[in-house]
Amino acid sequence: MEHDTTNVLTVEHLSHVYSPGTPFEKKAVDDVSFSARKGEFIGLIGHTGSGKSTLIQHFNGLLAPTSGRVLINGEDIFQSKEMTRAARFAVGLVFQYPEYQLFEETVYADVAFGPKNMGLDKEEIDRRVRENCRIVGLSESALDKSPFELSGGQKRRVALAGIFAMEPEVMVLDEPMAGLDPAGCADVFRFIQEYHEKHGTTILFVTHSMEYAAQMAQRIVVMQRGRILMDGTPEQVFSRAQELLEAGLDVPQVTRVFLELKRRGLPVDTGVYTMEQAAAQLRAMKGGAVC
Amino acid sequence: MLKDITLGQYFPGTSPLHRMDPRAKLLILIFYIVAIFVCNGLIPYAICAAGLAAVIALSRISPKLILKSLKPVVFIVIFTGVLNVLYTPGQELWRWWIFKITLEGIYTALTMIVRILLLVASTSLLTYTTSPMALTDGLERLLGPLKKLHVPVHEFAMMMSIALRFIPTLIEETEKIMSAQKARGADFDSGNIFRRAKALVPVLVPLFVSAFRRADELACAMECRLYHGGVGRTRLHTLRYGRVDLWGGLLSVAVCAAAIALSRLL
Repeated sequence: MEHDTTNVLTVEHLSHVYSPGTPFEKKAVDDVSFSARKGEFIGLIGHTGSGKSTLIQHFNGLLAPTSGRVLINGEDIFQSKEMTRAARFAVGLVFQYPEYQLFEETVYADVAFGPKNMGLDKEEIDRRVRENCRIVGLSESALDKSPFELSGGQKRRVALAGIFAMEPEVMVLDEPMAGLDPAGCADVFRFIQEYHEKHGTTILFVTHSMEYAAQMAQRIVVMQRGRILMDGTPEQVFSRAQELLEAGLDVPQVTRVFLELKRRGLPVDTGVYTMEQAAAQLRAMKGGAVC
Repeated sequence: MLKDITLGQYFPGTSPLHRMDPRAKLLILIFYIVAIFVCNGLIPYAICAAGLAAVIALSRISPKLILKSLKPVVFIVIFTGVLNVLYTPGQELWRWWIFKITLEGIYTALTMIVRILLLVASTSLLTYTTSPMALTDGLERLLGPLKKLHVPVHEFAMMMSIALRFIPTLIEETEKIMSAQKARGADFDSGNIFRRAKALVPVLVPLFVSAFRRADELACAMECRLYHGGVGRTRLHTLRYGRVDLWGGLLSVAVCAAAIALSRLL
Protein backbone atom coordinates (compact mmCIF):
# COMPACT_ATOMS: atom_id res chain seq x y z
CA MET A 1 0.00 0.00 0.00
CA GLU A 2 1.17 3.51 -0.83
CA HIS A 3 0.68 6.11 1.86
CA ASP A 4 1.02 9.82 2.06
CA THR A 5 3.79 10.41 4.55
CA THR A 6 2.46 13.62 6.11
CA ASN A 7 1.68 13.55 9.80
CA VAL A 8 -2.00 14.07 10.50
CA LEU A 9 -1.76 13.87 14.23
CA THR A 10 1.26 14.86 16.29
CA VAL A 11 1.71 14.88 20.04
CA GLU A 12 4.69 16.77 21.45
CA HIS A 13 5.98 16.18 24.99
CA LEU A 14 2.49 15.66 26.31
CA SER A 15 2.00 15.21 30.04
CA HIS A 16 -1.25 15.00 31.95
CA VAL A 17 -1.59 15.19 35.71
CA TYR A 18 -4.93 14.44 37.37
CA SER A 19 -5.96 16.51 40.42
CA PRO A 20 -2.71 18.48 40.63
CA GLY A 21 -1.88 19.92 44.03
CA THR A 22 -4.05 17.48 46.00
CA PRO A 23 -3.18 14.23 47.78
CA PHE A 24 -4.83 12.44 44.84
CA GLU A 25 -2.33 13.86 42.33
CA LYS A 26 -1.50 11.33 39.63
CA LYS A 27 0.65 11.63 36.55
CA ALA A 28 -1.27 9.62 33.97
CA VAL A 29 0.70 10.58 30.86
CA ASP A 30 4.36 11.46 31.16
CA ASP A 31 6.20 13.31 28.37
CA VAL A 32 4.77 11.39 25.43
CA SER A 33 5.72 12.34 21.88
CA PHE A 34 4.39 10.53 18.86
CA SER A 35 2.83 11.13 15.50
CA ALA A 36 0.48 9.31 13.18
CA ARG A 37 0.78 9.49 9.40
CA LYS A 38 -2.13 9.68 7.03
CA GLY A 39 -3.74 6.29 6.50
CA GLU A 40 -1.77 4.48 9.17
CA PHE A 41 -3.39 1.66 11.11
CA ILE A 42 -1.98 1.81 14.63
CA GLY A 43 -2.57 -0.41 17.62
CA LEU A 44 -2.08 1.18 21.05
CA ILE A 45 -1.35 -1.38 23.70
CA GLY A 46 -0.93 -1.16 27.43
CA HIS A 47 -2.15 -2.28 30.81
CA THR A 48 -5.20 -0.85 32.50
CA GLY A 49 -3.94 2.39 34.01
CA SER A 50 -1.03 2.77 31.59
CA GLY A 51 -2.44 6.09 30.40
CA LYS A 52 -3.88 4.97 27.06
CA SER A 53 -7.38 6.27 27.66
CA THR A 54 -6.08 9.55 29.07
CA LEU A 55 -3.76 9.99 26.10
CA ILE A 56 -6.42 9.46 23.45
CA GLN A 57 -8.79 11.96 25.05
CA HIS A 58 -6.24 14.66 24.22
CA PHE A 59 -6.41 13.90 20.51
CA ASN A 60 -9.78 15.59 20.05
CA GLY A 61 -9.37 18.14 22.82
CA LEU A 62 -11.60 16.52 25.44
CA LEU A 63 -8.73 16.79 27.88
CA ALA A 64 -6.24 19.63 27.84
CA PRO A 65 -2.62 18.65 28.46
CA THR A 66 -0.89 19.76 31.65
CA SER A 67 2.09 20.45 29.42
CA GLY A 68 2.91 19.75 25.79
CA ARG A 69 1.02 20.21 22.53
CA VAL A 70 -1.37 18.33 20.29
CA LEU A 71 -1.21 19.17 16.57
CA ILE A 72 -3.63 18.21 13.83
CA ASN A 73 -2.21 18.81 10.36
CA GLY A 74 0.43 20.99 12.01
CA GLU A 75 -2.01 23.21 13.92
CA ASP A 76 -2.20 23.36 17.70
CA ILE A 77 -5.74 22.32 18.64
CA PHE A 78 -5.71 24.35 21.86
CA GLN A 79 -4.76 27.68 20.24
CA SER A 80 -8.42 28.75 20.03
CA LYS A 81 -11.90 27.53 20.92
CA GLU A 82 -12.72 27.13 17.22
CA MET A 83 -9.68 24.92 16.67
CA THR A 84 -10.64 22.72 19.62
CA ARG A 85 -14.12 22.33 18.21
CA ALA A 86 -12.71 21.57 14.78
CA ALA A 87 -10.55 18.89 16.40
CA ARG A 88 -13.72 17.17 17.67
CA PHE A 89 -14.70 16.57 14.06
CA ALA A 90 -11.22 15.90 12.68
CA VAL A 91 -10.62 13.17 15.21
CA GLY A 92 -13.48 10.74 15.81
CA LEU A 93 -13.30 9.09 19.20
CA VAL A 94 -15.18 5.88 19.92
CA PHE A 95 -15.30 5.33 23.67
CA GLN A 96 -15.34 2.00 25.44
CA TYR A 97 -18.82 0.44 25.37
CA PRO A 98 -20.06 3.15 22.99
CA GLU A 99 -23.55 1.63 23.00
CA TYR A 100 -24.12 3.33 26.38
CA GLN A 101 -24.20 6.70 24.64
CA LEU A 102 -27.18 5.91 22.38
CA PHE A 103 -30.15 8.14 23.14
CA GLU A 104 -32.25 8.90 20.07
CA GLU A 105 -35.63 7.45 19.21
CA THR A 106 -34.43 5.77 16.04
CA VAL A 107 -31.18 4.26 14.86
CA TYR A 108 -31.18 6.70 11.95
CA ALA A 109 -31.44 9.76 14.21
CA ASP A 110 -28.72 8.46 16.51
CA VAL A 111 -26.24 7.87 13.70
CA ALA A 112 -27.14 11.32 12.32
CA PHE A 113 -26.39 13.07 15.65
CA GLY A 114 -22.68 13.61 14.93
CA PRO A 115 -23.07 14.70 11.30
CA LYS A 116 -25.90 17.03 12.34
CA ASN A 117 -23.66 18.68 14.94
CA MET A 118 -21.13 19.22 12.17
CA GLY A 119 -23.70 21.37 10.38
CA LEU A 120 -23.93 19.25 7.23
CA ASP A 121 -26.91 19.54 4.90
CA LYS A 122 -29.70 17.00 4.85
CA GLU A 123 -28.66 15.09 1.72
CA GLU A 124 -25.10 14.69 2.95
CA ILE A 125 -26.30 13.48 6.36
CA ASP A 126 -28.63 11.01 4.68
CA ARG A 127 -25.83 9.69 2.45
CA ARG A 128 -23.47 9.27 5.39
CA VAL A 129 -26.02 7.59 7.63
CA ARG A 130 -27.08 5.06 5.00
CA GLU A 131 -23.57 4.37 3.75
CA ASN A 132 -22.08 3.80 7.19
CA CYS A 133 -25.00 1.76 8.45
CA ARG A 134 -24.37 -0.47 5.45
CA ILE A 135 -20.68 -0.79 6.37
CA VAL A 136 -21.58 -2.00 9.85
CA GLY A 137 -24.15 -4.40 8.44
CA LEU A 138 -27.35 -2.70 9.62
CA SER A 139 -30.24 -3.34 7.28
CA GLU A 140 -32.53 -0.56 6.00
CA SER A 141 -35.34 -1.89 8.17
CA ALA A 142 -33.23 -1.42 11.31
CA LEU A 143 -32.89 2.33 10.69
CA ASP A 144 -36.39 3.12 11.99
CA LYS A 145 -36.12 0.92 15.06
CA SER A 146 -35.39 2.25 18.51
CA PRO A 147 -31.74 1.59 19.34
CA PHE A 148 -32.91 0.27 22.71
CA GLU A 149 -34.71 -2.73 21.21
CA LEU A 150 -31.55 -3.99 19.52
CA SER A 151 -29.20 -6.64 20.89
CA GLY A 152 -25.89 -5.67 22.48
CA GLY A 153 -23.86 -6.42 19.36
CA GLN A 154 -26.31 -4.49 17.17
CA LYS A 155 -26.15 -1.50 19.51
CA ARG A 156 -22.36 -1.52 19.23
CA ARG A 157 -22.74 -1.37 15.43
CA VAL A 158 -25.07 1.62 15.66
CA ALA A 159 -22.61 3.43 17.95
CA LEU A 160 -19.73 2.69 15.57
CA ALA A 161 -21.75 3.92 12.60
CA GLY A 162 -22.40 7.12 14.57
CA ILE A 163 -18.68 7.93 14.60
CA PHE A 164 -18.02 6.50 11.11
CA ALA A 165 -20.66 8.88 9.74
CA MET A 166 -18.65 11.87 10.95
CA GLU A 167 -15.96 10.73 8.48
CA PRO A 168 -13.09 12.03 10.60
CA GLU A 169 -9.50 12.25 9.37
CA VAL A 170 -8.32 10.20 12.32
CA MET A 171 -10.44 7.61 14.04
CA VAL A 172 -9.57 6.56 17.55
CA LEU A 173 -11.29 3.50 19.02
CA ASP A 174 -10.99 2.59 22.69
CA GLU A 175 -11.30 -1.20 23.01
CA PRO A 176 -13.87 -1.50 20.23
CA MET A 177 -14.27 -5.24 20.77
CA ALA A 178 -14.64 -5.23 24.57
CA GLY A 179 -17.49 -7.39 25.82
CA LEU A 180 -18.46 -8.89 22.47
CA ASP A 181 -18.61 -12.59 21.63
CA PRO A 182 -16.01 -13.96 19.15
CA ALA A 183 -18.36 -13.52 16.18
CA GLY A 184 -19.13 -9.96 17.25
CA CYS A 185 -15.41 -9.21 17.60
CA ALA A 186 -14.71 -10.55 14.13
CA ASP A 187 -17.52 -8.38 12.75
CA VAL A 188 -16.26 -5.19 14.36
CA PHE A 189 -12.75 -6.05 13.20
CA ARG A 190 -14.08 -6.36 9.63
CA PHE A 191 -16.08 -3.11 9.76
CA ILE A 192 -13.07 -1.13 10.90
CA GLN A 193 -10.92 -2.61 8.17
CA GLU A 194 -13.54 -2.00 5.53
CA TYR A 195 -13.92 1.59 6.63
CA HIS A 196 -10.15 2.04 6.61
CA GLU A 197 -9.86 0.72 3.08
CA LYS A 198 -12.73 2.84 1.83
CA HIS A 199 -11.68 6.19 3.31
CA GLY A 200 -7.97 5.80 3.92
CA THR A 201 -8.59 7.18 7.41
CA THR A 202 -5.84 7.04 9.99
CA ILE A 203 -6.97 4.49 12.56
CA LEU A 204 -5.70 4.20 16.07
CA PHE A 205 -7.23 1.52 18.23
CA VAL A 206 -6.63 0.79 21.86
CA THR A 207 -6.63 -2.80 22.97
CA HIS A 208 -5.01 -5.06 25.46
CA SER A 209 -5.34 -8.03 23.21
CA MET A 210 -2.03 -8.69 21.48
CA GLU A 211 -3.78 -11.05 19.07
CA TYR A 212 -5.91 -8.25 17.62
CA ALA A 213 -3.01 -5.85 17.50
CA ALA A 214 -0.90 -8.43 15.66
CA GLN A 215 -3.66 -9.17 13.18
CA MET A 216 -4.78 -5.65 12.44
CA ALA A 217 -2.11 -3.05 13.01
CA GLN A 218 0.66 -1.89 10.69
CA ARG A 219 2.30 -0.22 13.61
CA ILE A 220 2.17 -0.93 17.32
CA VAL A 221 2.70 1.53 20.14
CA VAL A 222 3.16 0.05 23.62
CA MET A 223 2.51 2.20 26.66
CA GLN A 224 3.63 1.56 30.20
CA ARG A 225 3.15 3.78 33.25
CA GLY A 226 2.27 6.81 31.17
CA ARG A 227 5.23 6.50 28.81
CA ILE A 228 5.79 4.96 25.40
CA LEU A 229 7.77 1.77 25.86
CA MET A 230 7.95 0.64 22.23
CA ASP A 231 6.85 2.04 18.89
CA GLY A 232 7.34 0.19 15.64
CA THR A 233 6.09 -2.37 13.17
CA PRO A 234 4.62 -5.59 14.61
CA GLU A 235 7.89 -7.36 13.59
CA GLN A 236 9.97 -4.89 15.58
CA VAL A 237 7.68 -4.95 18.61
CA PHE A 238 7.20 -8.69 18.80
CA SER A 239 10.87 -9.39 18.23
CA ARG A 240 11.18 -7.91 21.72
CA ALA A 241 8.67 -10.41 23.04
CA GLN A 242 10.78 -11.18 26.09
CA GLU A 243 10.72 -7.53 27.12
CA LEU A 244 6.95 -7.37 26.64
CA LEU A 245 6.51 -10.38 28.89
CA GLU A 246 8.79 -8.84 31.49
CA ALA A 247 6.71 -5.65 31.38
CA GLY A 248 3.74 -7.85 32.32
CA LEU A 249 2.17 -7.62 28.87
CA ASP A 250 1.00 -10.47 26.74
CA VAL A 251 2.37 -11.54 23.35
CA PRO A 252 0.47 -13.43 20.63
CA GLN A 253 0.17 -17.16 21.33
CA VAL A 254 2.29 -18.12 18.31
CA THR A 255 5.05 -15.85 19.52
CA ARG A 256 4.93 -17.53 22.89
CA VAL A 257 5.16 -20.96 21.28
CA PHE A 258 8.20 -19.84 19.30
CA LEU A 259 9.84 -18.35 22.37
CA GLU A 260 9.48 -21.74 24.05
CA LEU A 261 10.82 -23.54 20.96
CA LYS A 262 13.87 -21.30 21.03
CA ARG A 263 14.36 -21.91 24.74
CA ARG A 264 14.36 -25.63 24.00
CA GLY A 265 17.12 -25.13 21.48
CA LEU A 266 15.44 -24.85 18.09
CA PRO A 267 16.99 -22.18 15.85
CA VAL A 268 13.73 -20.23 15.30
CA ASP A 269 13.13 -16.53 14.81
CA THR A 270 10.89 -15.36 17.67
CA GLY A 271 9.66 -12.27 15.79
CA VAL A 272 6.67 -14.20 14.37
CA TYR A 273 3.23 -13.01 15.29
CA THR A 274 0.83 -14.62 12.82
CA MET A 275 -0.01 -18.23 12.05
CA GLU A 276 1.05 -17.79 8.41
CA GLN A 277 4.53 -16.62 9.35
CA ALA A 278 4.86 -19.42 11.84
CA ALA A 279 3.80 -22.03 9.31
CA ALA A 280 6.20 -20.63 6.71
CA GLN A 281 9.08 -20.71 9.14
CA LEU A 282 8.37 -24.24 10.28
CA ARG A 283 8.06 -25.40 6.67
CA ALA A 284 11.38 -23.74 5.80
CA MET A 285 13.00 -25.43 8.79
CA LYS A 286 11.61 -28.80 7.85
CA GLY A 287 13.02 -28.37 4.33
CA GLY A 288 16.39 -27.29 5.69
CA ALA A 289 16.53 -29.99 8.33
CA VAL A 290 16.83 -32.77 5.74
CA CYS A 291 20.62 -32.49 5.85
CA MET B 1 -16.34 19.83 37.17
CA LEU B 2 -18.99 17.47 38.52
CA LYS B 3 -16.49 15.97 40.91
CA ASP B 4 -16.61 19.20 42.93
CA ILE B 5 -20.06 18.27 44.15
CA THR B 6 -19.62 16.59 47.51
CA LEU B 7 -22.38 15.05 49.51
CA GLY B 8 -22.03 13.71 53.02
CA GLN B 9 -18.29 14.24 52.76
CA TYR B 10 -16.77 11.95 55.33
CA PHE B 11 -13.17 12.30 56.52
CA PRO B 12 -12.01 9.07 58.12
CA GLY B 13 -10.20 9.44 61.43
CA THR B 14 -9.70 8.00 64.89
CA SER B 15 -10.68 10.92 67.12
CA PRO B 16 -13.13 10.34 69.99
CA LEU B 17 -15.75 11.93 67.77
CA HIS B 18 -15.15 9.39 65.03
CA ARG B 19 -15.34 6.56 67.54
CA MET B 20 -18.65 7.66 68.97
CA ASP B 21 -21.80 5.72 68.24
CA PRO B 22 -23.73 7.40 65.40
CA ARG B 23 -26.89 7.22 67.50
CA ALA B 24 -25.23 9.14 70.30
CA LYS B 25 -23.97 11.74 67.87
CA LEU B 26 -27.41 12.14 66.31
CA LEU B 27 -29.10 12.53 69.72
CA ILE B 28 -26.51 15.01 70.91
CA LEU B 29 -26.89 17.00 67.70
CA ILE B 30 -30.67 17.12 68.10
CA PHE B 31 -30.28 18.32 71.68
CA TYR B 32 -27.71 20.89 70.60
CA ILE B 33 -29.98 22.26 67.87
CA VAL B 34 -32.84 22.58 70.35
CA ALA B 35 -30.49 24.45 72.68
CA ILE B 36 -29.42 26.84 69.91
CA PHE B 37 -33.00 27.79 69.23
CA VAL B 38 -34.09 28.07 72.85
CA CYS B 39 -31.10 30.14 73.88
CA ASN B 40 -31.13 33.89 74.12
CA GLY B 41 -28.44 36.42 74.93
CA LEU B 42 -24.75 36.84 74.46
CA ILE B 43 -23.35 34.52 77.13
CA PRO B 44 -25.50 31.45 76.29
CA TYR B 45 -24.47 31.73 72.63
CA ALA B 46 -20.86 32.16 73.64
CA ILE B 47 -21.17 28.91 75.61
CA CYS B 48 -22.79 27.10 72.66
CA ALA B 49 -20.11 28.36 70.25
CA ALA B 50 -17.30 27.48 72.66
CA GLY B 51 -18.75 23.99 73.09
CA LEU B 52 -18.82 23.49 69.34
CA ALA B 53 -15.30 24.87 68.98
CA ALA B 54 -14.06 22.41 71.60
CA VAL B 55 -15.73 19.50 69.78
CA ILE B 56 -14.25 20.63 66.45
CA ALA B 57 -10.80 20.74 68.05
CA LEU B 58 -11.40 17.27 69.48
CA SER B 59 -12.43 15.89 66.06
CA ARG B 60 -9.15 17.04 64.47
CA ILE B 61 -11.13 18.22 61.45
CA SER B 62 -9.45 21.29 59.99
CA PRO B 63 -11.41 24.46 60.91
CA LYS B 64 -10.95 25.47 57.27
CA LEU B 65 -13.28 22.64 56.26
CA ILE B 66 -15.90 23.81 58.72
CA LEU B 67 -15.65 27.32 57.26
CA LYS B 68 -16.00 25.83 53.79
CA SER B 69 -19.21 24.11 54.85
CA LEU B 70 -20.61 27.53 55.79
CA LYS B 71 -20.05 28.92 52.30
CA PRO B 72 -23.33 27.72 50.76
CA VAL B 73 -25.39 29.46 53.45
CA VAL B 74 -23.69 32.85 53.15
CA PHE B 75 -26.51 34.15 50.97
CA ILE B 76 -29.22 32.98 53.38
CA VAL B 77 -27.32 34.49 56.28
CA ILE B 78 -27.03 37.88 54.59
CA PHE B 79 -30.66 37.75 53.45
CA THR B 80 -32.08 36.95 56.91
CA GLY B 81 -29.70 39.42 58.49
CA VAL B 82 -30.79 42.32 56.26
CA LEU B 83 -34.50 41.50 56.55
CA ASN B 84 -34.32 41.29 60.33
CA VAL B 85 -32.37 44.52 60.63
CA LEU B 86 -34.85 46.43 58.47
CA TYR B 87 -38.18 44.99 59.53
CA THR B 88 -38.04 44.51 63.29
CA PRO B 89 -40.08 47.17 65.07
CA GLY B 90 -38.52 48.87 68.07
CA GLN B 91 -36.26 51.72 69.08
CA GLU B 92 -35.34 53.58 65.92
CA LEU B 93 -31.67 54.32 65.29
CA TRP B 94 -31.66 55.43 61.67
CA ARG B 95 -34.28 55.99 59.02
CA TRP B 96 -34.28 56.60 55.26
CA TRP B 97 -37.39 56.56 53.08
CA ILE B 98 -39.27 53.36 54.11
CA PHE B 99 -36.22 51.73 55.68
CA LYS B 100 -35.42 51.99 59.33
CA ILE B 101 -32.89 50.32 61.52
CA THR B 102 -33.80 49.48 65.10
CA LEU B 103 -31.75 48.31 68.04
CA GLU B 104 -34.01 45.27 68.34
CA GLY B 105 -33.51 44.63 64.63
CA ILE B 106 -29.76 44.46 64.95
CA TYR B 107 -30.11 42.20 67.96
CA THR B 108 -32.53 39.78 66.24
CA ALA B 109 -30.41 39.74 63.09
CA LEU B 110 -27.28 38.84 65.04
CA THR B 111 -29.13 36.10 66.92
CA MET B 112 -30.48 34.61 63.70
CA ILE B 113 -27.09 34.68 62.03
CA VAL B 114 -25.41 32.98 64.97
CA ARG B 115 -28.16 30.35 65.05
CA ILE B 116 -27.82 29.54 61.36
CA LEU B 117 -24.02 29.39 61.48
CA LEU B 118 -23.97 27.13 64.54
CA LEU B 119 -26.67 24.91 63.04
CA VAL B 120 -24.81 24.39 59.77
CA ALA B 121 -21.39 24.02 61.38
CA SER B 122 -22.62 21.40 63.86
CA THR B 123 -24.46 19.32 61.26
CA SER B 124 -21.44 19.46 58.93
CA LEU B 125 -19.28 18.23 61.76
CA LEU B 126 -21.58 15.22 62.08
CA THR B 127 -21.26 14.29 58.40
CA TYR B 128 -17.52 14.97 58.43
CA THR B 129 -16.95 12.52 61.28
CA THR B 130 -19.59 9.87 60.50
CA SER B 131 -19.57 7.66 57.43
CA PRO B 132 -22.84 7.69 55.48
CA MET B 133 -23.27 3.99 56.25
CA ALA B 134 -22.91 4.53 60.00
CA LEU B 135 -25.30 7.43 59.78
CA THR B 136 -28.03 5.40 58.08
CA ASP B 137 -27.46 2.56 60.53
CA GLY B 138 -27.83 4.98 63.40
CA LEU B 139 -30.99 6.50 61.93
CA GLU B 140 -32.47 3.07 61.37
CA ARG B 141 -31.90 2.10 64.99
CA LEU B 142 -33.15 5.40 66.37
CA LEU B 143 -36.32 5.23 64.28
CA GLY B 144 -36.72 1.52 65.14
CA PRO B 145 -39.72 2.04 67.43
CA LEU B 146 -41.67 3.38 64.42
CA LYS B 147 -41.65 -0.16 63.03
CA LYS B 148 -44.42 -0.91 65.52
CA LEU B 149 -46.53 1.60 63.59
CA HIS B 150 -45.72 -0.27 60.35
CA VAL B 151 -43.39 2.41 59.08
CA PRO B 152 -40.87 0.60 56.78
CA VAL B 153 -37.84 2.02 58.60
CA HIS B 154 -35.41 -0.63 57.42
CA GLU B 155 -36.45 -0.21 53.80
CA PHE B 156 -36.01 3.55 54.02
CA ALA B 157 -32.56 3.15 55.52
CA MET B 158 -31.59 0.62 52.85
CA MET B 159 -32.78 2.95 50.08
CA MET B 160 -30.85 5.80 51.62
CA SER B 161 -27.61 3.85 51.82
CA ILE B 162 -27.99 2.57 48.26
CA ALA B 163 -28.65 6.09 47.02
CA LEU B 164 -25.56 7.39 48.82
CA ARG B 165 -23.48 4.53 47.49
CA PHE B 166 -24.46 5.25 43.89
CA ILE B 167 -23.95 9.00 43.82
CA PRO B 168 -20.22 8.80 42.93
CA THR B 169 -20.90 6.01 40.42
CA LEU B 170 -23.53 8.06 38.64
CA ILE B 171 -21.33 11.16 38.65
CA GLU B 172 -18.57 9.16 36.98
CA GLU B 173 -21.06 7.76 34.49
CA THR B 174 -22.35 11.25 33.68
CA GLU B 175 -18.84 12.46 32.97
CA LYS B 176 -18.18 9.53 30.68
CA ILE B 177 -21.39 10.04 28.71
CA MET B 178 -20.73 13.78 28.46
CA SER B 179 -17.28 13.10 27.01
CA ALA B 180 -18.71 10.60 24.54
CA GLN B 181 -21.36 13.05 23.35
CA LYS B 182 -18.82 15.87 23.17
CA ALA B 183 -16.76 13.62 20.92
CA ARG B 184 -19.81 13.50 18.67
CA GLY B 185 -19.92 17.28 18.60
CA ALA B 186 -22.46 17.94 21.37
CA ASP B 187 -22.05 21.42 22.80
CA PHE B 188 -23.02 21.94 26.45
CA ASP B 189 -21.51 25.35 27.10
CA SER B 190 -23.08 27.72 24.61
CA GLY B 191 -26.48 29.12 23.74
CA ASN B 192 -29.28 30.32 25.99
CA ILE B 193 -30.78 28.37 28.86
CA PHE B 194 -33.29 26.52 26.64
CA ARG B 195 -30.62 25.40 24.20
CA ARG B 196 -28.47 24.23 27.07
CA ALA B 197 -31.34 22.32 28.63
CA LYS B 198 -32.03 20.65 25.29
CA ALA B 199 -28.37 19.81 24.89
CA LEU B 200 -28.63 17.70 28.04
CA VAL B 201 -31.06 15.21 26.47
CA PRO B 202 -28.20 13.16 24.93
CA VAL B 203 -26.73 12.89 28.44
CA LEU B 204 -29.87 12.30 30.47
CA VAL B 205 -31.39 9.54 28.33
CA PRO B 206 -28.32 7.25 28.48
CA LEU B 207 -27.85 8.14 32.15
CA PHE B 208 -31.38 7.06 33.06
CA VAL B 209 -31.11 3.93 30.94
CA SER B 210 -27.94 2.97 32.75
CA ALA B 211 -29.35 3.88 36.19
CA PHE B 212 -32.31 1.58 35.58
CA ARG B 213 -30.02 -1.15 34.33
CA ARG B 214 -27.90 -0.83 37.47
CA ALA B 215 -30.98 -0.85 39.71
CA ASP B 216 -32.17 -4.02 37.99
CA GLU B 217 -28.81 -5.72 38.36
CA LEU B 218 -28.50 -4.68 41.99
CA ALA B 219 -32.01 -5.95 42.81
CA CYS B 220 -31.16 -9.25 41.16
CA ALA B 221 -27.86 -9.54 43.04
CA MET B 222 -29.61 -8.77 46.33
CA GLU B 223 -32.24 -11.42 45.71
CA CYS B 224 -29.57 -13.93 44.77
CA ARG B 225 -28.10 -13.35 48.22
CA LEU B 226 -31.55 -13.94 49.73
CA TYR B 227 -32.17 -10.38 50.82
CA HIS B 228 -35.73 -10.19 52.10
CA GLY B 229 -35.92 -6.96 54.04
CA GLY B 230 -34.98 -6.22 57.62
CA VAL B 231 -36.87 -9.01 59.42
CA GLY B 232 -34.49 -11.32 61.24
CA ARG B 233 -31.43 -9.71 59.69
CA THR B 234 -28.31 -9.63 61.81
CA ARG B 235 -25.36 -7.30 61.43
CA LEU B 236 -21.62 -7.70 61.16
CA HIS B 237 -21.06 -4.47 63.08
CA THR B 238 -23.65 -4.06 65.80
CA LEU B 239 -23.92 -0.59 67.23
CA ARG B 240 -22.94 -0.42 70.88
CA TYR B 241 -22.77 2.55 73.21
CA GLY B 242 -19.39 2.91 74.87
CA ARG B 243 -17.67 5.09 77.44
CA VAL B 244 -16.90 7.75 74.89
CA ASP B 245 -20.63 8.03 74.22
CA LEU B 246 -21.46 8.28 77.90
CA TRP B 247 -18.93 11.03 78.57
CA GLY B 248 -19.64 12.83 75.31
CA GLY B 249 -23.35 12.74 76.02
CA LEU B 250 -23.03 13.92 79.62
CA LEU B 251 -20.69 16.78 78.74
CA SER B 252 -22.81 17.95 75.82
CA VAL B 253 -26.00 17.83 77.84
CA ALA B 254 -24.29 19.77 80.64
CA VAL B 255 -23.04 22.48 78.28
CA CYS B 256 -26.38 22.83 76.49
CA ALA B 257 -28.32 22.80 79.74
CA ALA B 258 -26.05 25.49 81.20
CA ALA B 259 -26.60 27.67 78.14
CA ILE B 260 -30.37 27.25 78.32
CA ALA B 261 -30.49 27.84 82.05
CA LEU B 262 -28.40 31.00 81.75
CA SER B 263 -30.62 32.45 79.03
CA ARG B 264 -33.69 31.85 81.22
CA LEU B 265 -32.10 33.48 84.26
CA LEU B 266 -30.52 36.50 82.60
